[in-house]
Amino acid sequence: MVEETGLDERLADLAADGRLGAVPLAAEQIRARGDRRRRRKRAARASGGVLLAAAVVVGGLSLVRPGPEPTAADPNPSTSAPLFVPPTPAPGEEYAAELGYVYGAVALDGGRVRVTVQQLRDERGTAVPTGVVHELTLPAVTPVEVRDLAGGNPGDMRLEEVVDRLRTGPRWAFALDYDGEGRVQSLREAHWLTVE
Amino acid sequence: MDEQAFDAFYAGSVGRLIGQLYAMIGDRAEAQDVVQEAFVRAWERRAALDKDGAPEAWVRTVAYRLAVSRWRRVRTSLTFAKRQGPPPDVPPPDDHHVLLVAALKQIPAAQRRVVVLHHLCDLEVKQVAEETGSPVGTVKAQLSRGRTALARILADTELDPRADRVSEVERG
Repeated sequence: MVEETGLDERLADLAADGRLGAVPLAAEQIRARGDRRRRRKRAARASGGVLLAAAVVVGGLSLVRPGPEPTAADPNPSTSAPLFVPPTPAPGEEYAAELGYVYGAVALDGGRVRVTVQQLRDERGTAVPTGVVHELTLPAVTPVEVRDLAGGNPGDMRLEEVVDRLRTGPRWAFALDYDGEGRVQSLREAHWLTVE
Repeated sequence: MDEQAFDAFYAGSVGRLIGQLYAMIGDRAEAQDVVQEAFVRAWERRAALDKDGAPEAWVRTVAYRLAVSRWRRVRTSLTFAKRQGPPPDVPPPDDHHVLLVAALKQIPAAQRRVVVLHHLCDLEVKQVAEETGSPVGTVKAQLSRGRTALARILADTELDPRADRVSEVERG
């Protein structure tokens, strides 16, 4: 096997064997999956607009309702949790995305991680807090797509692997993908957002 | 890259890439999963892929990165398994291939990758360095160590080239 020719032939045989057993999907199925991924990302970007509309409605109601002046947004989960409603995927979509700073990560027993989410909206590419803050307890193995968080190298990690980096205050923005049951299936670093 | 061009690219390279990834990671189903997932991403970013000019190398690199990430492996396997149903009946691998896969698995992943890129994908050392993001000297060292390690692991097995030489002499 030291001889290169022998190695070339052995590897070629092995690869041919691997090809023989393969039953790849049809090209149109691959394209359909790629299109779905693209729509998910677009939905994440568009979710800022939906959140803005919701904020306008809530703000409008508070103007006509008598009562004390609302305080400035306080990143305290307990005060703002009632405002949070998990986003619902649009018809035909697999996921709906929420944009938010993810921080305060704490590893819990039972393979779970608790995080705080400070919801954001995308205003022409800039992250703007909506005032909604809530907590999530997620499986430690929740997939996290990272880029800047991993020193600029795009990669896939598990939530438990980035707990230390997400322990401190709001810094890293993510798109959180919710399925139709309101469960978070994955986090994607929202590197396209400008964080102020 | 429009649909027609992508379909032609996919049809023309998916089998070859699955074979190459199989040699790199030693698992057929896994190789198919990660190559398909890489093609999904290729279609998603087809505009950038056109500019890149080396779509097959891009898909191979992405597929390899997917493969080395264990959690992703599990997730994509489950996803594709759910979509594709039970795996087809595949004949058991050739004994020699089992030996070779076992040997490849015993050498470090980085060495295995450069050995496959150079000896199977026919890339020159410089091209291997570009694809792996490593200096040329590192690739040369990995190739040398990988070949030496494979020779040591396969010594005295049916894949030992010395055995071939003996039998050729015997055949006269």
